[in-house]
Amino acid sequence: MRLEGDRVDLLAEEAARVVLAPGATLLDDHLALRVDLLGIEQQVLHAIGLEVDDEIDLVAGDVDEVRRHVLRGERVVLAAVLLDEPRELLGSARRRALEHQVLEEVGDPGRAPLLVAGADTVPDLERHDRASVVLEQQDAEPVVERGGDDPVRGRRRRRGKEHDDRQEGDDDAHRLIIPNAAPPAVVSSSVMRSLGIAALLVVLALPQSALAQPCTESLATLFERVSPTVVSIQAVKINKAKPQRRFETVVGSGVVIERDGQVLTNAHVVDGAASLTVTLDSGVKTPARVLGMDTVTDLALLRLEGRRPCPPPAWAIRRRSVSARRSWRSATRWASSKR
Amino acid sequence: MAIGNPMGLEQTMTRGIVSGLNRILPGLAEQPMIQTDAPINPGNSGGPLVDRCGAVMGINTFISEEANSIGFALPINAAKAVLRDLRETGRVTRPWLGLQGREIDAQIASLFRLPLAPGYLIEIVYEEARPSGPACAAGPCRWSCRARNTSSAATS
Repeated sequence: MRLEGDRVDLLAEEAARVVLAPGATLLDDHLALRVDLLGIEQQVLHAIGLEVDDEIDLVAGDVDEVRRHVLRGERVVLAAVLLDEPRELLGSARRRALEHQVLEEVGDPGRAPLLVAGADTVPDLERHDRASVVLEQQDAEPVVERGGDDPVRGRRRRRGKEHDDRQEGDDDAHRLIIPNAAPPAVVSSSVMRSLGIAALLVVLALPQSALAQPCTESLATLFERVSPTVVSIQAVKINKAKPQRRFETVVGSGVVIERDGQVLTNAHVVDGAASLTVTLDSGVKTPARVLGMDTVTDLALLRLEGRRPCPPPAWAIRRRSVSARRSWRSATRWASSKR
Repeated sequence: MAIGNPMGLEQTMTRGIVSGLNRILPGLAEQPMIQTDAPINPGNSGGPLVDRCGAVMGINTFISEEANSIGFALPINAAKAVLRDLRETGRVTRPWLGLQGREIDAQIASLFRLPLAPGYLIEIVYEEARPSGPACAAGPCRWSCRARNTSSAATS
């Protein structure tokens, strides 16, 4: 009997044995648990508290007590200690209430519909609405433009209006364009009115962040966005007055304004230059030619000769959308290739 | 923000505020400039003056050598106005009269004992410019008569 009693004790000990470093063996055995533990960081918080509970420190714990056997393929109950379960349930319930009442995010505002009516196919010839005629050189623009999702339209718009100075919101999907010239002349006052209403509605539909918000990006980010468009210009001038120092180098800066390599700079930088060398942000040196010069406004227009690709023009980097991110990335690539 | 390569130091960014707009500088064209206190040094010339969002506002052009941190940038809209001429013809054609002068107010009239109180004092008629100024080509007689009427300080 004594022997049997000892055996019973041994069995009881075995049932309550202590497992050292259970994490590794559990992870080896159980694929679902491994995926759960690895995926904790990536999980988005669920609105009704169904997220994986990442507060339980399983992997870090060295010693765990085995309460019951885990069958292969069965989900592991992480909080096996009895006292822990009600505590966690209470906590999740509290968190759930908070999430619903306070923390729940407001859904995104919908995209504004296209409100501008198309132009009449048959214009009313007898109209007396005192609207001025749009001439070709007056460069009339719509007040409101919608874009961002249509690549073809976006490309056409960029090509058509690369020179205009516009104010853009931060939102990709909406863009409010304020022409810098006189108010746009439109053919009919009704079109003008509908444009105005559409502008108002689009303005109302815009999220607040897209309107007149000061740019809050860091100066380093700004620099990385802008610096690829800035080039350095070395102009070698021949100084006839000083024979001993015949060649004199004038250093200036310039800004790329076109994709084909047009660079705007000061006339006094390049005036009288025998040769021009432009150093891009990437460190590439390229020759340049003077396209035009105006000493009154002290402006000169250069074109980079030779190698492509040229850096993005200044107007292209203002867009904070995918293309901006792309140019930002290429800017960093240039910066890294410079070293 | 001003970005350029002052003194050959490539891609230097300096920052400041826009100190004033529409500054008419004496001795320069009737071109309002943007005044900024972002440090602009020799070599910054031609570089962009960008705003906080990265949009180009002007082209850094002048600094005041006597003062500290008074830089002037040509507004980008003025630059865009001449860009088309620069692209197509390589230069900008402007009408000009070939005269320089100033209005006569009561102070100047009393100073020079001028008979005309509201008038126009012609100081310089451009003759040597090539091609000679339109005012010069119009005939010296008329203009000298006018000059005699207004001021003995007028040349030609």
